[in-house]
Amino acid sequence: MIENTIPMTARAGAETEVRATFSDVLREQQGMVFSIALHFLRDCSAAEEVAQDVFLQLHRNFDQLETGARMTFWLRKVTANRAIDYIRKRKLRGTVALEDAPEPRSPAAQPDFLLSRRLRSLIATLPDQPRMVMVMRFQEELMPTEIAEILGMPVRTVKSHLQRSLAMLREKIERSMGDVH
Amino acid sequence: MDDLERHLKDALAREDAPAGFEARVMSAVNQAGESNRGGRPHLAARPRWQWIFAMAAAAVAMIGVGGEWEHHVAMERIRTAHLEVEQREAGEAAKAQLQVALRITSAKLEEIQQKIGEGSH
Repeated sequence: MIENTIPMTARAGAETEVRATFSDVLREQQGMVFSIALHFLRDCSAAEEVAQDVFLQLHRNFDQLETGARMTFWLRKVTANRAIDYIRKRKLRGTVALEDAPEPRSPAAQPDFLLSRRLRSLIATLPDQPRMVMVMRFQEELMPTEIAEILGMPVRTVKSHLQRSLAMLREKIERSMGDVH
Repeated sequence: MDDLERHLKDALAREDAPAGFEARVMSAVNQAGESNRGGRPHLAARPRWQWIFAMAAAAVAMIGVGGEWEHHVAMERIRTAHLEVEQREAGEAAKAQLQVALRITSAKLEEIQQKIGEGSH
């Protein structure tokens, strides 16, 4: 798991530990929150809108929330829920089944960049829940148990989403780009 | 972890928030904080929707007052008309009563006149 928990206590002097302020949390966690929304929505302005809402909600509840790892958990959970709600309300994404996604073209140059772009566009074709599972697994590098807790679903469902999504991605990529193993 | 999973990590690596994001959030937070505290910002600083709301409320109030005044005037007119009708009816009734009284008096005088005529014969 990425070391991304907020050092929610900032040292003021040698002994006194001070609770992190809202602006500390915002500064340190904006990348995480924005990236979850961006990788899920694939729309920069929509991702910013969602991220801003998340931080406004954080500000409203800041005094009631525990700092540290629990706050990171809270931010991931709220961001995931907000992003899923956003897409459901706005129908931002056209529903393209992964099987129906066009085959990628063979890249002539910068294979990693093209592969990354291709992978992101294939992930975008996944349904909401498996897509968020993939974002949590590969952006946040969370374990299935952690993802299950954040998204409020059974661990076996998370594992199933991961296996099926990976199998489908592998098939699509291998068909167009050759063996990725 | 296989190559695909490594590529997925690269593809979904965290990105920086857009420039100015932090400032925009802080500005939104401050604005929300001001309205939560119930503080009344300077008139010129109020957001546009507040002006629109105030103007709409004023228009509704003016329409309401205008309507009320119109209603009051109409009711006065009706009341005056009723009064006129009542006065006219009372006058007509008095006139009719007077005519009846005159008719009775005239009949009585005629009767007396006849009796006097018969007495003199």
